[in-house]
Amino acid sequence: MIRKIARKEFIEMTRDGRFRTVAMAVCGLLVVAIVLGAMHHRREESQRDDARRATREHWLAQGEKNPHAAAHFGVFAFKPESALSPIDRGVNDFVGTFVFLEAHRQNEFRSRPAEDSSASGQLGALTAAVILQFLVPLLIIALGFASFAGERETGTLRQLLSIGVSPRKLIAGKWFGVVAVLAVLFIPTTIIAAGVLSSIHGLDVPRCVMLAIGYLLYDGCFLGLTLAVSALASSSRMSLLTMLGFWVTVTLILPRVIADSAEIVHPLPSLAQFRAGIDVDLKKGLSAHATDSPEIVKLRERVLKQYGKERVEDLPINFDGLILQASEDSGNAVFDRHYRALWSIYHDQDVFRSRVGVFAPASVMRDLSMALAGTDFEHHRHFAEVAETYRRGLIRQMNHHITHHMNGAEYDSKAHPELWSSVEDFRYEPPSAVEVFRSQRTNFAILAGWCIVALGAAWIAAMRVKP
Amino acid sequence: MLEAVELTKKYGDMTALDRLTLRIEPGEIFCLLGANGAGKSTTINLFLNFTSPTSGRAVVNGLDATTSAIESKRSLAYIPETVMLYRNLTGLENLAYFSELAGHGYDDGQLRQFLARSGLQIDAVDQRVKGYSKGMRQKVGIAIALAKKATALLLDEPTSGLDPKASNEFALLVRELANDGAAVLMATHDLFQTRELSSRFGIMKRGRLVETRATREIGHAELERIYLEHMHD
Repeated sequence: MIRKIARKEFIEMTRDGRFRTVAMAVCGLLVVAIVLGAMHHRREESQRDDARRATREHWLAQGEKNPHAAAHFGVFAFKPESALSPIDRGVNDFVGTFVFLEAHRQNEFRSRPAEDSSASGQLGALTAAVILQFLVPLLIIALGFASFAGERETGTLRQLLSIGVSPRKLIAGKWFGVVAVLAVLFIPTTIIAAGVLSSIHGLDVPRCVMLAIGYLLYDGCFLGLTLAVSALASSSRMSLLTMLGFWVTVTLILPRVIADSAEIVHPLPSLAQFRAGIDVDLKKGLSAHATDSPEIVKLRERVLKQYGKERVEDLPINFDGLILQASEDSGNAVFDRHYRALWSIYHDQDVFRSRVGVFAPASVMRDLSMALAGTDFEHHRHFAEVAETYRRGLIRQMNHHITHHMNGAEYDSKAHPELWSSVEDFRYEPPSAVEVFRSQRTNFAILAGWCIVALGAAWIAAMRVKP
Repeated sequence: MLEAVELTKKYGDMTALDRLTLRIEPGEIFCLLGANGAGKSTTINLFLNFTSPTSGRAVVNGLDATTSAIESKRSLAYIPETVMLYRNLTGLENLAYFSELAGHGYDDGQLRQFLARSGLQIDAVDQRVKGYSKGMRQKVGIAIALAKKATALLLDEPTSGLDPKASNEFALLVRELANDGAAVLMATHDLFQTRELSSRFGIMKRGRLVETRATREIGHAELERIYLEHMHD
């Protein structure tokens, strides 16, 4: 019986010209958004590949040079575009795309496309995520708001219930009917999207599957609630207004309110404050130029004792290299402290959003989508940490060379270019799908909870259906 | 068989149906007469379990319409004032859908036979219902009852608004169903049709069945006199 009801719903919906127009428009937009996203991805990756090659070539082509000068010469680390960024650009346009890695400083990221975009660009790009999070729920509402309320108005519900159809089978049939229509629309769209994505970056199947599950749960929530409201509403107009009100609240108002509240509850320092705080602490720390500072005096005594020597000149190593590294370690501790505090605020904001997001599935879906697309703040932070680890390794390698292979840190002492090629090129591997799943378990659970509650509401509403 | 046992429905202080006791045997056509708000449609809604009785029972072929709501409807057909069908489906598709939901799987030929028997023109069978007249919709309603093999029929002013020819055709079809053994309860304002079609009739007033008579006992003028007497009380 459920199959028959679903089939009838499917036939009726697909014969409705208005529905066909709207559905094709949404699917068309989705395909266009994915293709545009893929083109953007390809362009960005191409530019960054060129830049990556150039920074490496410049590093290798330094010629004979003092390693500390090379450490100041530095390299650039370019964040790769994630495989699913054509679906969801997330925070990519706001957090910067590359960072300059040099001695003494953990720099901020540069090149934020959002800063360079026009006024219309500031409104946000048309991405597949925007369509999936905003327009597809609207399409579901358009498909389902009249399921019961419309039939009640036209009198067919009375006819149907007089036949002896169980209301629960009726709602199940209607649910499957809408699902069948959505499947017909979105399975081909998904295949096209998979083809486009695999053509540019290879398909990250586990992340794609998780993304699909997330959106299915999100859409399931809208579908269940739409059917429940339709079953209980006094008219299809009331059903539509109720669901549009829910959509506006959940997709437009609550995510903004939650994001703003998170910033109020866990405020971030301004960039100027953050930089100033680091500068103050750096000044308090060890400086390689202050050779008579207590820290350097202590270091000297410890090293002389370790080697059993009286004078620095008698040491088998270059003490200046050790001072440079000690200064670096001191600065790193300052950066660690400040960045840890900064990341901690971001983390607290995430936790806040996740907890309050129990009431806003769209907010949760947004976070989940960005995370699975590899474009959320956690992925950016992961890259920033990998880049910083690389920077510290590179600087340590330069200082180690000065310590063990050079007589003095003065700029007239030069290292052979082989040193530059002994430094491994910067490589980045994003977190695995399993790690992302672990971090997103709560968001999956919230969406699953919403979906179950929505289906439960539809199930209960079905028992109260009156002709 | 349709049976009401002390069937009562109250909405707050207002009694829509007051202790109705009535039994309609297979093959019998019982017409319920009465002004608007007399309780005719409430009676039908109680048999369909569209509303729950305050007290008493509505029984369809031995099954309580409230406690066995789904089962009691299996042998029940309902034809309202205008049979509402799915506009984007054809007459044939509508019939297939409703009969499938009622648990009867017919092939295309059998469904067309039901529609032909109900008097629907052959060329209308495959047209979408949005172009159907009211008379055509009522015929599809009869076809649904035929396909369902209904043994109890609830008709709620089914010929209201039909032209005399269509009304007569409809009456003949109802008679045919009764002759096949269906118990028919028809709520109507049409005294002429009551006289021509029913075996018995009852007059309802303010929720109460105030008079029940066998139709063959009286002529048309007598029926009109009794009806108007009650309406003017």
